[in-house]
Amino acid sequence: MPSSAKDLLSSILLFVLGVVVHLNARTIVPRFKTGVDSGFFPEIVSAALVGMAAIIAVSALSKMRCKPSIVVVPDEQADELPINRFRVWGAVTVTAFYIVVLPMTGFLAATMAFLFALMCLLAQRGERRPLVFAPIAVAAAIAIHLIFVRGFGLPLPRGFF
Amino acid sequence: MTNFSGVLDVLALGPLLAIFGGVALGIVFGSIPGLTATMAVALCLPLTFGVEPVTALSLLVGLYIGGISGGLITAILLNIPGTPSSIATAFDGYPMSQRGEGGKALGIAILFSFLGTLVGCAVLFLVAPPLARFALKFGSFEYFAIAVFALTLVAGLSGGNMAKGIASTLIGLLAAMIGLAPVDAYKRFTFDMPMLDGGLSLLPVLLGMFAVSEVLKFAEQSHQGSLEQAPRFAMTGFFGLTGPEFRSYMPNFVRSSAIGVVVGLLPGIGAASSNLLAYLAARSASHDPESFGKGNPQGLVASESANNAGIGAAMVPLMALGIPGDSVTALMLGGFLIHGIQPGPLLFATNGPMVYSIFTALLLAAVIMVALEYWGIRLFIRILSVPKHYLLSIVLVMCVVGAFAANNRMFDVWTLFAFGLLGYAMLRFDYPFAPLILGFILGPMIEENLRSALMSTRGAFLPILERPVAALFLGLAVLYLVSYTLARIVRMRRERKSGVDVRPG
Repeated sequence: MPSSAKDLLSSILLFVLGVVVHLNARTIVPRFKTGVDSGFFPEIVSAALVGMAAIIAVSALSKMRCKPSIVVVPDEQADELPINRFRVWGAVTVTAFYIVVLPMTGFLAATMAFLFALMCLLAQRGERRPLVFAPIAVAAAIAIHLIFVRGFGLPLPRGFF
Repeated sequence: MTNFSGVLDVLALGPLLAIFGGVALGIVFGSIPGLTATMAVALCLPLTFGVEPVTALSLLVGLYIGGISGGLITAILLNIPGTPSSIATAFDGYPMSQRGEGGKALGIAILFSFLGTLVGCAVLFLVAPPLARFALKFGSFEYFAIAVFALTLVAGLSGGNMAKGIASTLIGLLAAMIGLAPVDAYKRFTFDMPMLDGGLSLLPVLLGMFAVSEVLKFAEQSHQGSLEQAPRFAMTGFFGLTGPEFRSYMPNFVRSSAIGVVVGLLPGIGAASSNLLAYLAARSASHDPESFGKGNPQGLVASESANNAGIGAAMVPLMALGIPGDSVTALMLGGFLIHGIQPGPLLFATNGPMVYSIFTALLLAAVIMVALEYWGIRLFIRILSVPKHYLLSIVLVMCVVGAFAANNRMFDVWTLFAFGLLGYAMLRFDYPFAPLILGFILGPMIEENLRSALMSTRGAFLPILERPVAALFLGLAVLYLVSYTLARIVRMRRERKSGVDVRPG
């Protein structure tokens, strides 16, 4: 997606966020007669956010309309690699699933499975070695559990079982 | 001579071991994302109950110094600040590490952490009582003005697009408004969810923005071969520095340490802000501000000098007035009281040896910190040779553990996840992170102090300008914004004249 299209999309999201927050802030009931009430800051900030969204949108639209005479593209952008959406969404899903099951199964079981899954997901094809990842995931989960629970005395989710 | 006995008390085996152990453990806590200096002091406080007061305070001082400094390691090597006090260290430390200068970056950061600590110690020792009294004169007006001034500096963190930087700040401010409002405790944006009443904690927000988004950024790359260069040690000379380089960093070091000291002196602001403010000041003062964020060692110097200079300074109100400035010094106050030491104006008069002991412990902890971290550089740098699919997976688990352990609730883990997604989205849409973090930290301070100030003036804004310090900082804020905007307009006109349009990356 070109940067101007990204800016336009993000400005729409910011605009919506600003409007929703502003409307919500206006429902805040003042409690004091002097000074400012609790709705004052959210109203100001959300209004400013709407303003910024408008500036970003205008800037994006003007970029879309007029083409510059010479375009200098920074090196990093030229070298940008294609995005592997499967791995990104995979990592998001695995992490969300981990957080859901963590309080149910307890830290050890959930972490072992999570580490194994994430390592498989993040490793390159040539480096994907499930037989190596499995013992590392088990050992790392046990080590972290021992360090935090036994060493530092910090509580971790125990699970229902 | 009586006071000098306090120095000798620390030079006994027990306190020396306590300082060494405290610094080592503090570095471990600081370097693990999710664990902080506060947590280290809180967990070790019960260990001090049965030991001599000097040994107990030596341990706490060691933990404090190690915990603040340890955050630089993962900030530089993984782009994940170990503690909020090392946020700005990642901005230039990680790019240096990526181009094979990890050793040099660590060397510079460690050296200026040490020097910054010495500045803080000097302030504590030489001018503690008068400085503490001066800082106490600051009221709501002054705090409001300082926070507004700090927030305007966000323009310097905006990269190529100021509107995006401001939008990012506003998102941070809005995130900080979730929960009970200051002054009247009105529930805002809680959607009848009790866990939102207390608001969002800084740690999960910070870890989500930096750590989770870093994992997702790594996941999006199909071929990491060219990015994962073999790590090089690359540290020659004195902590990776030549003499002229060291001298060129001195003005920045002096300015950043001064910022760290001022922020440390003022209760409630904390090292999480000082490193960002010093970084912004260094960037604004630089002849080459564009190089910041791309591996300019000056960014490291600014961040590490400021956060460590704040340690001694934060002890000033604690020791001279008995007022803790942040969570770590609040716990240390507990440590003082447990051992029958009452911090306050009389401490210097009635318990001189103890003051000397604490001062000596701070100095020794700084020396041990620099020694441990310097010798540990070769070990730290090996982190880079561990394949990232192992490293990032384990770091993510550490972050989850850290977020959970902070308040012992799963809600903070969900906060971590949500801000990770937000951070990744901001990355994809080219929005800078740092202004959001600064807005999140400073937002409550601005709102609380303005509301308190306006209540005392019955809603009138003008009295704020009648307070010299408040007026000075508000004036500086306006001046900075005007000069920054003018400078950008001039630059844009020059670019237009030359017919070149540089698109921000």
